Formats: sequence, structure tokens, C-alpha cells
Amino acid sequence: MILYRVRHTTAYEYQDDVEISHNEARLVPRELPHQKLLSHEMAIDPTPQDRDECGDAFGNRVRYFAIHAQHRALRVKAQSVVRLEACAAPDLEASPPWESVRDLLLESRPLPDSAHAFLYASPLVPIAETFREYAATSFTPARPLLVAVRELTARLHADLTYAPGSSDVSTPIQEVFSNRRGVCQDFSHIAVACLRALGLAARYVSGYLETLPPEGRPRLTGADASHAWFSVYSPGPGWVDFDPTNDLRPALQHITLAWGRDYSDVPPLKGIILGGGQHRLKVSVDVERVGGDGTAPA
Amino acid sequence: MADDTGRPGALLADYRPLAGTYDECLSTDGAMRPAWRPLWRALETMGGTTLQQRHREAVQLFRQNGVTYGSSQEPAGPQRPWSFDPVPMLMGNEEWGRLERGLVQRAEFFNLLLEDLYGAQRCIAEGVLPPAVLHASPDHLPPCRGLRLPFPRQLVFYACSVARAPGGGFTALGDHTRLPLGVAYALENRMVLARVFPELYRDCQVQRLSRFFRASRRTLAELAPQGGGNPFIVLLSPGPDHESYFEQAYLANHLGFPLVEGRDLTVREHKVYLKTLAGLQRVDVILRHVEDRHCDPLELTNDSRWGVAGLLQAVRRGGVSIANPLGCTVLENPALRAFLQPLCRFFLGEDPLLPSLATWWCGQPREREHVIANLERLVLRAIHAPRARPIVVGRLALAEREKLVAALRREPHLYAAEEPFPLSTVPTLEGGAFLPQGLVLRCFLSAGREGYSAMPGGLARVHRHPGDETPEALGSWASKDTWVISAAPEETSEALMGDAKHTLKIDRRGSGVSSRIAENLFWFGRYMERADRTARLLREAIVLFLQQGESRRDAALAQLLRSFYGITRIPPPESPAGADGAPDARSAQERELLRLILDAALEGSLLHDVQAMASAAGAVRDRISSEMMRIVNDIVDGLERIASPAEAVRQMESVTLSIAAIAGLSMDSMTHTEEWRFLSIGRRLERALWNVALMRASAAEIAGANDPYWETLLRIQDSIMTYRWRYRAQVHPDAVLDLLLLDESNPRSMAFQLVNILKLVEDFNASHQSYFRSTEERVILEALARLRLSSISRRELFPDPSAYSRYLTQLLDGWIELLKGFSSALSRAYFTHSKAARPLLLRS
Repeated sequence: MILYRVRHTTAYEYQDDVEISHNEARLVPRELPHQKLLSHEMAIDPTPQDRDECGDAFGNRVRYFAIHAQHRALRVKAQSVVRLEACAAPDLEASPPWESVRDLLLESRPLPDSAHAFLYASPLVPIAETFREYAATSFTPARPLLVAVRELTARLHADLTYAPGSSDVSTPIQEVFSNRRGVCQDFSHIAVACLRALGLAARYVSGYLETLPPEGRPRLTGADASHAWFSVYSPGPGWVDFDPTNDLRPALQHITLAWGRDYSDVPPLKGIILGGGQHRLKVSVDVERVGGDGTAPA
Repeated sequence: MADDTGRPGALLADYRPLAGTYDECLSTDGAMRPAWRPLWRALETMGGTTLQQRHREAVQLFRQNGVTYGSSQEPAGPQRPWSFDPVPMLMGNEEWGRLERGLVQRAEFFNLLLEDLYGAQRCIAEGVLPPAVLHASPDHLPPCRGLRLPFPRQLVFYACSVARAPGGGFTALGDHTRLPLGVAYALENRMVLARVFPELYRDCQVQRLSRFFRASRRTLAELAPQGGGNPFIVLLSPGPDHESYFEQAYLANHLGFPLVEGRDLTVREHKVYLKTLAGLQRVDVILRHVEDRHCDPLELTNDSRWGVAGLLQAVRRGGVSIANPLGCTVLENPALRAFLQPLCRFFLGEDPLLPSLATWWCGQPREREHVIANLERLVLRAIHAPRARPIVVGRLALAEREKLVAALRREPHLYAAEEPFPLSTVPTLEGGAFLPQGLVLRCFLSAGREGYSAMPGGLARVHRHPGDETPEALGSWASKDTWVISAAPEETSEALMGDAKHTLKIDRRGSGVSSRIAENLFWFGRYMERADRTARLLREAIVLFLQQGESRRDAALAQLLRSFYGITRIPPPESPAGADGAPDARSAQERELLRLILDAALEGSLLHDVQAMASAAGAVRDRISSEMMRIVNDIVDGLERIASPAEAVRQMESVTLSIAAIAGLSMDSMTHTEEWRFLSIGRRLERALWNVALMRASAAEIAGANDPYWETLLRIQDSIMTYRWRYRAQVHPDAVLDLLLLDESNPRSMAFQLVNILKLVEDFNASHQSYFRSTEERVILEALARLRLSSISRRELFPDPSAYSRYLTQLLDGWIELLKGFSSALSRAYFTHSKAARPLLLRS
């Protein structure tokens, strides 16, 4: 068991006055069997005139806020305390052959966990032959689903270069894939695209990752970032997470915020503004252990 | 003559239905079907010549009313005149009754399906509908899950395209839930037909359309979140660039709702407001003509410029109602029709009364194999690209077909196939003869508390090649009115006025003027005046050109054109034409004059100004009377007919007259509220600017007291009569300047414009209860003060002409600066709301 405190600050500075800004934030960590949310607070400056909270179609908590007063800067500070429990890792070898999972999803019977909602093309993840071909190498006949996914994760980690700034939200993933350079969102989108191209259900997960400083160096506050990984549907355990950016199975260092079909369903903060001109953005994320039984990270 | 035995008369003597197809009018033995007999009796009495004459009248009416399909922004673009056939499609009461019952049941069914797909999804959980049909459709919008209207039915408007199957019964070809498209065209067809064939329409006992529109409006009012009272309903339009903008403006006008665009609206505290000049006005109900996914850039497509940020949350919190509800395009998914029967049984416990086109969803293995084996006969629809054209497999080349089969095998769940049938035919006038053309009928329904009601008949569309099915865009077909013949005459009232049971709060301001409307009216006024000035100036120029040969006139013409180039900043042609009066120079000059009138791409040409005026008018179509709109359209038509200078003189005069008529209508038929003030300010400002610019362009001539130009100047400024009356034949520069600039009683003078603009601006401040002088007010005051205190008409005060010329130039330049400053102050104060919002997305 580990206790984390996550501080996530987003600051916009605008060149001109912003007259109106409407925003939605997905900054509240989800409640999961292995993840408990102990506290959450969110501070917004300037104070919004409208605030509201709802659940979205995927069960994520969404905060709406709107600011109608002229402003030149916006700062959103979210702070959450989360407890993660170790849970038994699924036995990859014991998962069913991947083709049987594909065929199960092809059948028209509804499945638990709304797997069908994550089976098709979504706004940022097209279904394309390129991804199917790439994935096919790992999905050999009758291979257990999760073994194949684990290998796909490792191959993506090996074949793609993590390169901050090499892409942005509007870069199509085919382009990222042909350049073989991207950030965690791209790694996850590509993995999701590979799985869906094979007829498997995969979802995009938005969250945080605890990063540890290199040996002998002090921890730097605010140096972390929001993170992304993916989940694949496997009958039995249900959704199983994989992190292609770090080539591992998320366990006690990944804090889940939200999930959806792709990033466009779950950006941590999204806004529409009137006015403003050019803007500068500064994001700082700080994931800090504040307690626990010292279980070593996986 | 069609007698009671049903033999067709002379008009249909050569009409031959196609072998093996059902004809709506004639049965297989060649006899006329009973419902059609009274109509054809009347048409035969009228005779072919009169019929064609009336057809031409109808075409003219559509054109005058500006009925088009396509974008109004690109003159050469896809905007097309509405194509209309004068002989209506007919249906007997009984047959219509059967069809109507089928349509109503289908609407009830789709309503329940919609509720379920965005609610509990029982039909999926219980295995009636495969999950893929919902989740693979891009029109399924997860953020819309759980939205509900405060009304017993969620699907407010529903349209269904039907055609007659060879067996004789009607079959549904397509379901339209995205936007209620076509309904205004049906109404306009009826209005025009009833006008050109009043006797036919009266005698045939046609069921009226007005009840349908009254019911629709009542339903929209009942959707209001708070209920009761006089809810504020707006029609949300994607703007004049949209292909069915005509329809939106027409509906808004007919139903009496303001036509608004996304940027006119704002969301606060989960309520929607219209941004008006007088502040925010609460909107209760939105009749939506913007596609689902473009309605809220925050939660749906974030790069949409048509939507309103926060709209979805406002709907979720019950702050506003939208019809049709967001997300309902999901019902247009063609794969749903493959499951219509089991779904209909699931929701209603009954079989569909109206059959659908045979449809197979390729996500099921047996159905997929059937489709692949029978591709030739089928039309394929992709459910992931719902707006893409259906694929008629029989027309594909072999290689394309193989690619298609491969795609179909790779992702079969993305395709549905339909088996079309040959359309029934109906007599349609083409090149003076009646030909059998294929018929598709689009029927319209609206929800009420007790159930759905259908518009009697609908929009009939006929297609030249009855064997060729499916192109579904409205524009690619000709249309017909559809008459449902009632057994007994109906009470006649096409009026839309509601019942007077509710008390209505008297409101003299009317629905608030949005900033965008104010801006468009301002520019409508400016372009109207600019076109008038340009027409007057070019008329003078052409008259001088036609009288050419006399050196005085040549000099006047050259000076006039110099002024025009100066004012409009149009670059003059390389070699100044017509200097020596040689024939080729003369024809070059003629070409140049016609270019200044007719080159629409040339900013400053008459046609350019007139088109800009028409486009500003089009953008506020619901605020401008149909007479005004008609005159605007006529001006454009008239200009396009000009071929010779002599014809041009007549057309210039008619432009001037038409604009005077529009100005008169704006004085007499628009209420003198804020929107009218913007139109007036626009006209006055442009008139003042032209006046000063014209003087500035000939400052040297004025200072030098050169004679030949004065009369022309007075004529262009429409002040020659006044001048002659005052001074008779004696032309003196000081008198001319006094009349054109200083005389506050001359409606053409600069002083008159400034005094009136000041009054209009002061009225604004008074109605907004502001006691400070605004920037725009100060600027006008300064311009007026400089004018009143000037010595412009007293050249005797100056030592020599060059000193006078310097003074004149400086003064005129100062006014031009001030007037431009006024225009920008006005737009800062009133028009900035119309800025577009933009998205910010965060990503680390």
C-alpha cells in the first residue's frame, strides 16, 4: 500500500484580455478496486462564476467551470491524495488465445464492462492496415492474448523514441508512427490502434506516474508530468493495463485519472476562450509519496 | 379531355409510362387513376400554353423570392435556383391515411429507440441490436448520454423518404433526424403553386399545410424549460455559407423566430443567452440547424465555429431545450434498418406498418455472404462515413469492386447494403412535354403531447432517370408540391397566428438585436448607398461617353473617371482610353466602362457593391422584408443582363430607382428601433464619405473654378433640381459647395448626413441610459463643428486659388479621417461580440 499526493498545476498567460472562458477538467482520480481517493481539492484563479460537476459517459468525474470576467491569466491547481493497494498481477499465460477474444467481441452479444465501446475507430484513433500489420508479428496463431499484448508493449517501447515536443495534439498518429517519435499519448494511441485493428477492445487511460530521481540526486518538485497508458479487454480479469512508454505493467506507481476511447475523450483540462491572443502555458505535476508500507516499486 | 371514364386528354396524349413500372397517374390499362381526374380536367381546360405560361411565372416567383439551394457566398458556387415542376403529385385521402399511420408508427418507434440508445441501452443489453451498430457509428456521441427534453417525446422532428414499391405500397428509403431539411421547400412549393394556380388549388380540395406548422410551433414552445408564458425560441443556423441557409431563413421568418448563429449566443450559469445590443436575453428553446457534433466546441468537436461553448452542459442542467436533441443523428445509421422489424417489435410490440428497403448489415456472417454474392443489385452504405455518397456497386469498375469486397471483408461491420427498386413514375413537364419521371416523397412529422402529426403530403422530388435510384441531395432533383385530396373542403386559413388564449406581454423592442445582425444591417446600409452612388456616377460617365466627340465632354468624362478611380482605388487601365476619339480607343473605353459595372471580382465595381449588399441582406434575411429582398435580387439580375452602353444607362437608372425603393421600404416598413438605426447610420455614413471623397478627388478643379464639371457633380449628388430652382442657369462654385456640403436642409448634403447620424447616435445613448458622450458621438460632433465653422464656400477670403486649394484639401482630408474613425468606434462599441471563440487544449 502506498499513499501519494499529486499536485497538478496548469497556468495560462494570455497576451490579450480573455472575455469568456468555458472549461472542463478531468483532474479527479477515479475510484478503483486498487485505488482509493482520500481527498481532492481544486483551486481556480480567477474565481469562476459558474461551476458544476458531472460524470461522463465513461464514468469519469468532470468539473465544468466558466469565467465571464476579463482576465489575462488562468491558474488551475488540483491536489489529490490517493491510496494504491497492491493487487495480484493477472497470469498472462493463462489468458485465452487472442483470436477467441476477437471472435467473442465480433459476436453480437453484449459484454460486461462495455467492451464494445472501445472496439472501433474513435476521433484520434483510426483503424488502419499499417497498425494491423505491425501488431500481427506479436499476435501469432493461438497465442494467449495478454502475452501478445505484453510483447506488443515491449516492441513499441523498443521501436518508438520518446521525444517530448516531437508531436502535438493535432499530429495524426499515422504520422507519429511513421516518424517513430512521440510522447506517452502517442505511444498509447498507437497501441490502442494496433489492438483495435486486430478486432480487440482497447481504451486510453490518462493519469500520473511516480518518477524517481537518478541514484544520488534529490527529487525535483514539479518535474513530473501527466501520463498516459492503455488497457486491453480480456475476458476474466476484464481490463488489463499496459504502459508502452515505460515497457511495464502499471502497478503501484500509476495513478489513474480517467479513461476513454482516446485522448479527446479525457484531456485533463480543456477550454474554449473568447479573445486572449497568443498564450503561454505552464504545467507542473508533482507526484509524491506521503506514506505507505514501503513496498518496492515493481 | 379526361372524362369520367378516365381516358387521358390532349396534354397527356403522348405520355407513355415505362413498361413494368408503376405510374402514379395512369394505371396499367392506360386509364387515369380517379384521384387525378379533377386536376387533369382543369389542366386540360387551361390548355398547354397557359400551363407553360404559369410554369414560367412560378419559376420567376422562386427566383424573386430568392429560393435557392446551395451556398450564397460563392456566386459561381453550388447555389442553384430551386427546380420546380408545375404539376403536383396527388394522393387520395385514403391512401395518404395508410401512409400516415405507417409514418406515425415509425416516428414513435424511432423516438423510443433514441431514448434507449442514449439511456439504458436495453435493446443492446437484450441482444436485439448488435453493439457494433451503435459504437461503430461516428454519430453516436457519448457526451449526449442521459440528455432529456422536458417533453413526453425526445425525437421532436422526423422526416422519412418514401417511394412506391413495384407492388404498389409505399416503402421507406431513408430516415432523417439530423436536421428537419426540406420542410421550408415544401411550404414554398405550396405557396407558389397556390398562387399561380389559384383556381386548381381551390377546386381540388387540397389538405392544408398550416396545421402542421402551427403544431410544430406549439411543440417548440412547450419544450421551454420553465414552461408557460411566451418562451423565447431561436433558430440556430450555421450561417449564410451553409447550403440550406435559404431554408433556415425562410423557416425563421415563417415561424417568427430570430435567426441566430453560434457566436450570437453565450452560456452563463447553464442558461443560454442571446447577445443583443441591449444586453443578454434568455433563450428558452433552440430550433437547431447546426449538426449535432458542431453544437458545442467544448464537449463535441472542438474546432467547430458554429457552436456555443457550454451548450451541452446547459442542456444537461435543463437550462435550455434543443430540437432535435443533440445526438439524434445516430438514428440515421443505415444499419439500423436491417434490425427495424425486431426493434419495432421490441419497443412497440408490433410489426412496422411501413416496410423499409430490404437491408443487410454486413456485421453478420450470413448476411455478409449474401451481400457479397449479390453485390450487383445492391447499394452499399458505409456507417462510419454516414454523409458519404452511397456506393452503387453495379456502376463500379471491376478493380474498384474488388477493393470494395476486400474492405468489406476486413471491416464488415462498417457496411450495410440495400436493395433498391425501380421508382414509380409521375408525369413531369420537361421541354414542353410530359415525361414519366421517378418519384421520391419526403414526409415530415413533428411530435406533440398526444403523438406525432404529419404534414399532409410532403416534398415530392422527381428524378429524370427512374431506373437510377438514390442520389439524395435535395438539389439534384426537381421538386413538386404534393396534394392530399380531402373528401370534404377544409377550413381555409394558412395564417400562422396562434390562438389568443394566452396573454402576451407587449414588447415594442421585439426580440433583441444581436451584434451580428446590427453589423450586417450597418453594412447593408453602406453598400446600398455605395451602389447608388456608383450607379449615378457611372450613368453620368456613360451618357458623356455616348455624346462623345465634343472636347468639353471628353474632358468631363476623363475627370469623372479620374474621380471614380480615386474614390474606389480601382487601378486605372494602363493607357488612358479614348483620348483621341479613334474607333479602337473608343471601344477600349466602352470595355472599360462595362468592366467598372460588371466585373464582380473588382472591388469598387457596381456589381461587386450590389453583390456585397445582397450578401449582407442575405445574412439578415429574417430582418428584411420579402419585398426588400426581392428588389435586391432583381437588381443583381438586371445588371447581369447588360450588354451595351445604352442598356447600361437604363440599368443604372433602374438601380438608382430600386435602391430608392429599398430606402423607402426601410423607412416605411421597418420599425424604427435599434436595427433600423444601424441601417440608417450605414447609409448616412457612406453618403457623407462619398460626398467628401468626390470633392477631394476634384479639389483642384473646384479650387480652379473649372466649369465643365459642376453640372455633373450636381447630378451625381442628385441635387441639380434644387440648384436650378435656387440659382437657375447660373453655375457658381460657392453656391454648389454650399448646397452639397453646408446646407442642412438638403438630404444629399454632408451637413444633413452628420446632423442625422448625430441624432441616431444620441438615440442609442438615450436608450442605453448613458449620459456621457460616447467616442462615436464625439467624433461626429467634431466633424459637424468643423463643417459649420468652415469657410469652404467663401473663396474670396483666400489670397489666391492655391491657398484656397490647400485649405480645401486639408479640410476634406480631415473629414475623411473623422468619418473613418467614426466607423471603427462604432464597430468597437457594438460589433465586437461577434468575435469567434477558439479552443485551448492542454497536453503535456
